[in-house]
Amino acid sequence: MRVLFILWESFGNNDVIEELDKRGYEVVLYKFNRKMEDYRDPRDREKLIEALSEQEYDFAFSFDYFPLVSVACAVKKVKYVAWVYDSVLFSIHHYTIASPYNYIFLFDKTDYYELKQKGLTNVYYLPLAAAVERYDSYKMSDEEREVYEVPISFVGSTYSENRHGIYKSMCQLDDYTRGYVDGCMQVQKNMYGNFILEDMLAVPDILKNIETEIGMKKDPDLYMGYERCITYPIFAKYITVMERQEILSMLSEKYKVALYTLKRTPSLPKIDNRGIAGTKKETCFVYRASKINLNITLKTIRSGIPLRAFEIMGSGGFLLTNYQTDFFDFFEPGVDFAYYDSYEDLMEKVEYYLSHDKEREEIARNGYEKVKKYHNYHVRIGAILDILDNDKAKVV
Amino acid sequence: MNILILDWNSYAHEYMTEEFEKSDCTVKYLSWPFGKEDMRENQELCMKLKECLGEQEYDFVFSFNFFPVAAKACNECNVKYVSWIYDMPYMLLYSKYTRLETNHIYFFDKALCIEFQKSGIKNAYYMPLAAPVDYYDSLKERARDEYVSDISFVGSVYQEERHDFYKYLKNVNYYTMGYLRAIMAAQKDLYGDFILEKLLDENILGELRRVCPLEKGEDEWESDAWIYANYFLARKLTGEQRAEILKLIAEKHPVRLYTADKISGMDKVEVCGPVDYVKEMPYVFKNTKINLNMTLRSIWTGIPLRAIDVMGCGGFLLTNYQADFLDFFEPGVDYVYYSDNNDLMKKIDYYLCHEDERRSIAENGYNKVKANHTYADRVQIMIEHMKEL
Repeated sequence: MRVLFILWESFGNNDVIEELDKRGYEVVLYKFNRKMEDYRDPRDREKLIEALSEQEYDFAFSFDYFPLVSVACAVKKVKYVAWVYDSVLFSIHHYTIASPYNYIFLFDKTDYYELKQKGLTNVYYLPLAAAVERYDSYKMSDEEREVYEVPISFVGSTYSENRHGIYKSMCQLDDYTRGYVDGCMQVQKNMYGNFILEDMLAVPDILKNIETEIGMKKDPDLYMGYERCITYPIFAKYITVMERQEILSMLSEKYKVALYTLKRTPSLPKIDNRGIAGTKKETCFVYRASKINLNITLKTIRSGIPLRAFEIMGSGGFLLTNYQTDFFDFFEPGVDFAYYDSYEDLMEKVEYYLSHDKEREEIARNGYEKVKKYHNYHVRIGAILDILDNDKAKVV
Repeated sequence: MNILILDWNSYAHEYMTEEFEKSDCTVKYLSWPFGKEDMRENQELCMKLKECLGEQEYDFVFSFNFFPVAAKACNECNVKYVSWIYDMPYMLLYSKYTRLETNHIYFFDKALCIEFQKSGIKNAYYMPLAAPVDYYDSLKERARDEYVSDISFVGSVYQEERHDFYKYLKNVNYYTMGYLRAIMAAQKDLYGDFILEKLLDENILGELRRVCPLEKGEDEWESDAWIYANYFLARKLTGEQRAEILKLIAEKHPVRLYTADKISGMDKVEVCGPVDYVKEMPYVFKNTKINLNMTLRSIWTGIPLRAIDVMGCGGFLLTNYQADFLDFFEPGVDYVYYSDNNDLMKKIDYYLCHEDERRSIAENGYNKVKANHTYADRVQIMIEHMKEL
């Protein structure tokens, strides 16, 4: 049993490799430059086809989906398992997606439904996971706990670099379009559980003006409208920029808030910016010791449970997240985690859970138990392998 | 009980009177110049009401909608002032006299009621509107050929100049115009949450005030955002959306619009002119297969009068989603709601060709309104409530 593992700087590589190894698979690593995902370059394709030719493979595996890998696997008649953890990942709208050798696992249910509705049969809904056993092995000393014990913490980017770039492009738009786009972003920022921004921007005149000024082009091999091209990387992301800034600013006015992030944050003077959480162990300690761990999902993720949320729960931390629909498929709000669906709600819940230790700890424990039992890499890889097995009858 | 009704050009005074009298109350009227005189600070009118209250003893004064000057007079005479709000938005509610303890305010819209309760108004109660089912039943000759149709809507599309406050905003800068268009487009497809008001930030409000300043009395406490959102934007949006939906339906089915408005640009819609609320409208509801309700968007969650009248007449109701329905009626059993245009079109197709189901839903709705939502029911609640105090 052998797997060609498409290796790029993704999260979770070791966890998947370890799990495959445990199940008796020989895992052959194939280094892949994610930037070089242009399937059109025949040399890259040939190289991968060559690698697939050297030995027999049960399947190739990658996090996210790469058309180039799909094409090479189709040539060699090898199954391609892609576990997508970015959303919205444009490459899932590439024409190669329908290849009968593909098995596409999507962590976001909205993405999954969308592809299903397009008539694809090789797509599956598979949420992300947490390596709970590994987290459990990290022992935290009392001194360490003291360092990481803060009322509120957030681990993630404020995308301050995007703020500048997007704002600059926005300024080039004509006033009406800029007003329209700002209005749409404000609406979406205040709305949880329903992503309407893309449809709202799909107005011909607006799109034309944005295309002229921002100059972003759509890859003709992608089956999607131009509105998708601009909505996610530009405007949805910009909402997150505003949202994280506003939330962290609001909370740090009232509470001690630790932020673990790469960049400096001069726009958040009251925040305790502790730099990036360097190791997986440190991240785990942050989650475990913070009273409240925030999850402010990147707005481009329409319903999925982000990795951060699984890691928080899997580390035994208390999770307070924005409303994301997919949580409700597996977890009970107020029992396993807590959510907010407006800034007022967020402030109320922070106050409540900071002053109700027992309830908070109970919720963290419930979330931890559930993730440990149902949302680890063993369970996920098992689900993937089951689907491959059940599909053996399929003529390929 | 002795009741004084402030008599203005409101609907349903006769139904209220009848029910009050059936409950052994004595009703007197005071002619009330709403629409003609100042309803906030009006010494003369205040005196007139106080004099009237001095002539004999009243248990309470009743009015549809709320008048600050009446609240002040009642308070000074220590008489309860019972009002039942059915207009929304209703600016006169935002007065310092709303807080007087002699007031008892019934709101037909639950969200509005909760907002007033939260703002510290103690005697604010939620009470949906009602239908005079006995009267509708008494209209023996049920079938009237001229009102027989598949689909109809009774109401305004706000195309006329006098309805259009939005035109006062036409000189806003392009940025603001784009912003307003975006939030209205979002609100259009979003039933169940009124977002226009909270999306007007200071930047936008500044520009709106520049082109269309608002004048407010010293005791008014509604926000500028509330006024612009509810009076200017929501009404414009409602008109546009009603016209859009009627045109959409007309592409596929014959559809009637009963309205006092002069209509243009709706060629396929059968425009029928206005119907009298008491004498004609019930026949429309009784003889239409599908009665549409497209709620004025400034009604946040409430059940509009049109909807309760449709059901009270035994008509089949297809309404946009409004949360308050769910407090009393079961969707798909007593009435049907739609949540977007696609849903609306699908349900029209479905219910036009499922006659039995349509009839049984209409009957269920009718039975429920007859049992729980008549003026008799409301008056009883009101009187018992006032007796307890």
